[in-house]
Parts: sequence; C-alpha cells; structure tokens
Amino acid sequence: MKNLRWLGVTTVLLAVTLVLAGWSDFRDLSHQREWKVTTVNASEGELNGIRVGVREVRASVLDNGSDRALLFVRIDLMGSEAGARSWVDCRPSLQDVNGRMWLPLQGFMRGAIEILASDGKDHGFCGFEGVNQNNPTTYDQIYRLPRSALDGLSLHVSGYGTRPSALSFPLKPEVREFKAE
Amino acid sequence: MNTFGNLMAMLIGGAALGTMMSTVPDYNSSFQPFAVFAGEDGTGKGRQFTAELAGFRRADVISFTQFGQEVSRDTSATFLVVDLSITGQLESQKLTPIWLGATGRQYHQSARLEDAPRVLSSATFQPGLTDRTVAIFEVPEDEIVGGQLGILPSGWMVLDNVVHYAGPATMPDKQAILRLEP
Amino acid sequence: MARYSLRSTARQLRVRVLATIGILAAIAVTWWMKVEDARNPDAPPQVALGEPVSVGRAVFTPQKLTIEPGSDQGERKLVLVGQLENVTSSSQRDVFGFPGGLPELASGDTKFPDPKVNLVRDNYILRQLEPRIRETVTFVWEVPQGWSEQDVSIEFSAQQFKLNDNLYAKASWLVHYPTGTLRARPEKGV
Repeated sequence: MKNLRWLGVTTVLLAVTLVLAGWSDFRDLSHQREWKVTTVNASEGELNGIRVGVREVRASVLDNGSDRALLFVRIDLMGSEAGARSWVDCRPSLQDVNGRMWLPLQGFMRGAIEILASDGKDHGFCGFEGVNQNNPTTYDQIYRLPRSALDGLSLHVSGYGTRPSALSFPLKPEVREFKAE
Repeated sequence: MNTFGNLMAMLIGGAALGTMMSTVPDYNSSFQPFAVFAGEDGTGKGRQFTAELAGFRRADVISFTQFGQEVSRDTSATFLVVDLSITGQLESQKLTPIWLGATGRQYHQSARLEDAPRVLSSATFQPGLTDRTVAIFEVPEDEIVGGQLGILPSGWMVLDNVVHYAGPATMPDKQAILRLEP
Repeated sequence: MARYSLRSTARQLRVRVLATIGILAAIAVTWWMKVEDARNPDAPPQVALGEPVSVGRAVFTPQKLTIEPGSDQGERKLVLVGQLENVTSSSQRDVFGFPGGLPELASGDTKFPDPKVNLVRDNYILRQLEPRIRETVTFVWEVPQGWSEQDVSIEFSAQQFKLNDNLYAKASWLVHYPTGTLRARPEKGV
C-alpha cells in the first residue's frame, strides 16, 4: 500500500515536470499554429483591438484551361496602437477545408496586383506602420493556387501575438478570365 | 558475495560501460535528418512536398538574361543540372537541394546562379500546383556518377525529412552552353 | 601509524628543507617559462607570394599585390590576387568564417577598411566556394586618403575547428587565430 502511494506521487511529479519543462516549447508552438479560429461571415471582424476588413477579392485564370489561378485580396486594418503592438506582425493566408495553406507571394510576382486591383495600385504587404484609430490602412496580397481550390477558400488573418487565435473570412472570389499569350 | 564475485561484477560492469561509451553516436552523427528514399521512377514523397526527378544534364557554360543583360557563367569543373518537377502538399514551401557527391562531399546549389530563371533557390511551391524547376550544382566531374540528390525543406529543421534520389548511372550528356529560359 | 619516527631533529630538518627546495624550484621554473614566453612571442609565420596560407575553411595562395586606380577620380585600391580552395567537405558561403575573419591590411599608420572578396571568373562578389574547385579571387581594399606608397603587411587568420566542441560535442568553428603574415610592396597595376 505504501509503495502504491509512492508510485502515485511519482506519477504526479512526472506529469508536473513534463508540463514545466515543455511549457515554453508549448507556448512557442501556440504562437505558430492557429488553433482558435473565429469564423467571420461579414466583411469585417475584430481581433485583439484591430479591426480587419476584407475589401476586394479577385481571381485571375487563363482561358487556355491552365490549372493555375492568381488570387488578389485587399484588406484594411484599423485600430489602436496598443492593438498593433499586441499583434506584433500580420500573417494572412488562404486555407481550404482540407487544411492546405497558401502564403502570399513576395517579390516581383506582386506585379500582378496592379492588374487585378480596382485602382491599379499595390498598397504593400500587411504590416502595422500607419495603422491608426480613425482611418483604415489598406494592404494587398496575391496568392498563386490551383484553379480547383478557388471554391471553399477562407482568408485567415492572425499575428504572432494573437495566435493561437485567428480570424477566418470565407471568400467568394470574383473570377476574371485573361487571354493566355 | 565473495571477493571474486564482486570483482567479476565490477569488471563486467566496467566493460559494459566502456563499450556503451565508446559506441554511443555523437551529436554530429545522431542529429541528421531522416532519410526517405525515392522510388525507382524517380518520384519521392517527403512530408511537405512530392518531387519527381526528370533528368540530369551537364554543361560547361550556363547563360541567362538578367534585367535585360546577358549573363553567362563558366566553370573550371562542370555544371550538373537536375530537372525536377515538384508539387506542394500542405503549405507554401521553399526547398533546398544538396548534391551528395560520390566522394562523400556535400555540394549546395551554385550561388552564382541564384538570379537565373526557374532555379530552385528562388521558387516557392504551392499546395496543389506542380512546377518544373532546375537545380544547378557546380561539381568536379568525378562527383557525379555515384552521387545522390537530397531535397529538404528550407529553413531546415535538423530532424526533418530529406528525400534521397539516386544519381545518374552513367555520366549525363554534356552541352557546351546551356541556356535557361524563364 | 607512522613507520618512521620523525622524532630525530636532523631528519625533521632534512624533510622540511627538501620540501622547501621543491616548492622554490617549481616557482622558479614556472616564472622562467613565463619570462621565456613573453620574450619570444608566438609570431605567425611569414608568408611569401606564391606560398599557401590556411584561412580556416580554405587555403589561399597569394600571387600578386598591385595598386590600381579606383572607379572615381583620385581613388586608389590595393588588389591582392590569389587562388582560393575550399578544403572542407561542403560548399561554404562564409569562406572566412562569420563574422569577420577577412585578411587585415596594415600599412604605416593608416587604418584600412575590410576588403571585398571578388571572384575573378564572374567579376562579382564571391558568394560561395565549392570543395575541390580552386578559384582565382581578388581582395580589394579601398585606400584611404593620405596613404603614400610603402610596404604593407596583410594578416591572415583562421577559425579553429573542433569536431566535438565543449558544449554539445558537435562540430563547430570557434575563435580566430593568426596563421600567417604577408609583407610585400605593392606593384603598379594598370
């Protein structure tokens, strides 16, 4: 009976040790994964003091039956400085029902934004300089994904400081067909 | 126990400990990525990508256009050009290839060709899309036959997967000048 | 339990004198070794043009040192041409170690900046060096104003490599130590 009690104590202490030792690694992991996703069915949602609005969603496909598509997404951010600091950075991504994730393109591939945007301008990648309480600040992203994935997409927006919480906006992109050269 | 028994226990224990200490793998050999081998047809499936090796080529000079200027890179050894067809699986991914030469040396992609079009170092692979790219290594000729190609995700976690592809059985055909088109 | 009785005064005295002589000898020898070390510092070996010098991950053989006009009016640069060969088993991006490790040029009282390392084949910065492929590289130093033509000395250093370091027993490149000094007078280049 005495041995069983000691075994019980050992098991409890083992569990406590594992939790204490793994706690910082668990925290790091939670800053990378989006576990608590809030689905927003409107065009605007709020997370940690920043209001995120999805303004334009436009896809471009080629008329030669190619399996690729480019998707342009314009969002705007509005909020307090404290909220911006709590987000740390901004990571928009496209996700489908199967859990596949597409990250925005960087570099010269962003040139397609100027073709797909309604005002023909690239407002830059999501960030927090210039985000204030009064006026929304616009940001643009472009994604490259299979044409077959255009249905059932949702835009996930989160920051390092907000994860594991994230906002999810279901997308219905307006598809524009371009002539293949 | 008697003295002899104690002595034997100590000697056997010491021998066992010594054997274990001298055969334990050190950090360098145990912290290596897990090897996954591609199939006979040249298709390998890693955790985050599926890649098919289409073929090997060799060249003495590689030329391409950069910002409107003609650029050509020559070498005192040879350029090994590997044609790959890669499909992303779950996440947008960048990949790093390594040539494991026949002598055991590891060659990374040639940094002189980082700005060339369609090169693996500048490509990001999206889930659901198959892209064709080229990985170019600058290696001495005797590292080609008997070598292997390894592909691993960039931002490389030490204990991730590396997919091994068999190298060419015979020396690939050589072109004097190979032009890379976007 | 003492086997010998040290009750005899003569024996006690002998033992103590021997101990004192031993301690004094140890102190004297150690002090003398320190003085000798200070008198003959370990100077890195002299390197002449054409002789190889280790720079850690690679071996460099200097061939020619010239002084050349720079791109702007009145600017000069010192150019050291040589062959560089990667002697490790994998491609190296930081051939001279990171950070620092580049050869240091000293001449007169002027302080020279860090050199730029160029691959002659591409006429561009050296970004990566492959094992077993020897390349001709140039080190280019911008000459600050007010330097008159005189002898220069270039110090090469290498990083120490340890297969099992003291922290994780993994292979690492550690501190820099000098491996050679090249003293030469730059020739007039085109």
